Amino acid sequence: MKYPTKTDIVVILILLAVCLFPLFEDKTTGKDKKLLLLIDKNVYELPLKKQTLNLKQQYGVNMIVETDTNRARITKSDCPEQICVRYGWVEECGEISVCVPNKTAIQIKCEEKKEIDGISQ
Amino acid sequence: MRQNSCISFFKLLGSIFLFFIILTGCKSSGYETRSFYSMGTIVEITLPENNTDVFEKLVAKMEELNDKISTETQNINNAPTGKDISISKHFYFLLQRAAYYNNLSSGKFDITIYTISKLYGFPEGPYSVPDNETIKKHVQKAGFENISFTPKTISKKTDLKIDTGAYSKGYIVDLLVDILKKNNINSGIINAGGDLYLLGTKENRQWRIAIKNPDKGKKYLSVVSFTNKAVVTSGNYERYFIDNQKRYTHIFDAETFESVNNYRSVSVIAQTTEEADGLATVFYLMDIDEIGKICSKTNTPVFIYTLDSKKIRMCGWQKYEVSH
Repeated sequence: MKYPTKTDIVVILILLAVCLFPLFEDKTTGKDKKLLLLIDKNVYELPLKKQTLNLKQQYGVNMIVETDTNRARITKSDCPEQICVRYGWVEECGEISVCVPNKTAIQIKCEEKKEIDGISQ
Repeated sequence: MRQNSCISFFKLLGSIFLFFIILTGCKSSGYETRSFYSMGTIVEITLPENNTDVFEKLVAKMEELNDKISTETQNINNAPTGKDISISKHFYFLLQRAAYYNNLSSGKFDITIYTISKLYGFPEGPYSVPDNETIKKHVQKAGFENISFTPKTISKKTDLKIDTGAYSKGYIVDLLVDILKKNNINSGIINAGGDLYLLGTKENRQWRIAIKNPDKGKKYLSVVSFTNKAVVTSGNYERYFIDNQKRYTHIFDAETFESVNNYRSVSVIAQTTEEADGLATVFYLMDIDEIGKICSKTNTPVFIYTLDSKKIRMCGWQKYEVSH
């Protein structure tokens, strides 16, 4: 038997390709974007797809969130000042729209975004 | 011979394999961020992974301190004039800082201005402009000279209301940083709704913080990088309301008793979050010349975004700035 065999080389090459893959992965696409729903001390993840969600039933807050493939916004809320509704779309990494009376917020998170660690506002 | 070269070939492959595993392993940052609602804002804490117990300690401490300070404030605000009200050591510290900022701003910054700003519905709404009569009646009560305090007690000469919200959130962040240090954690970020303290470094580089552009979708105003310091921004774009085309921000000048709309935002870097927090409000109340004089005394870099969208960097802000 001759070492390494053709199969060995194929296996090794596949392993190498798998290892190398994350290094060349495109970090700027929406793939690593997450949409978080924060209610008081709890954090939920909402899917980034075209839909309108009524949060009343599942989460008990009087709010409606519209989500898209890479952004989201609060379209209805019982907050008196409507600050979260007026805020509009959250789209950038770290961007957040907060409804203080309901202790609720939606936020875009980018897991592998390395450049910025926080935003002062 | 053939066997040997084969083994070394596999050794080499093995090390390449390991090398890439390590490389790709670095991709996951080794940090964990938790977000939750506290102190009237969204708080975000970033710590090295596997510190669940410390996270929980911080959340509990933050709630406890916030409740304590709110309760003390309410007690003072509801107390009759002339009565001695006992205060905690935390509150004594906050009162001393109130006196410092009042003096530094020649009276423009004043925790008793809440007597007036409360009439507009601040801090949480619903907002409306009170009538002149009501304002006049309350203006007489406000004024830092109408409170006196000792390390143990405070008393009011008039029926005024105080609010330390301009810098007490920063103070709580600093106390949480102390807890991190006590738990031997020397790397992390505490971000209380845009008031940030950056502890240590992130693995082998410094933390990077962006100053938000109030215009949506536009590039950050500035990105700064530093360690063991805080950055806080005060702006006109978060807590405000508009009545008759006039913008009423949550920041009031105690000299004129009016809401001030001097800048789009003012950001300050300081040694403690409490100082950055307090100075961001103090500077918001002052003109550019006055800010320049004070920031060189306090040695705190400042970034100003003016109403006509100009960027002004003062007292060495550019030293902390990185390209973005």
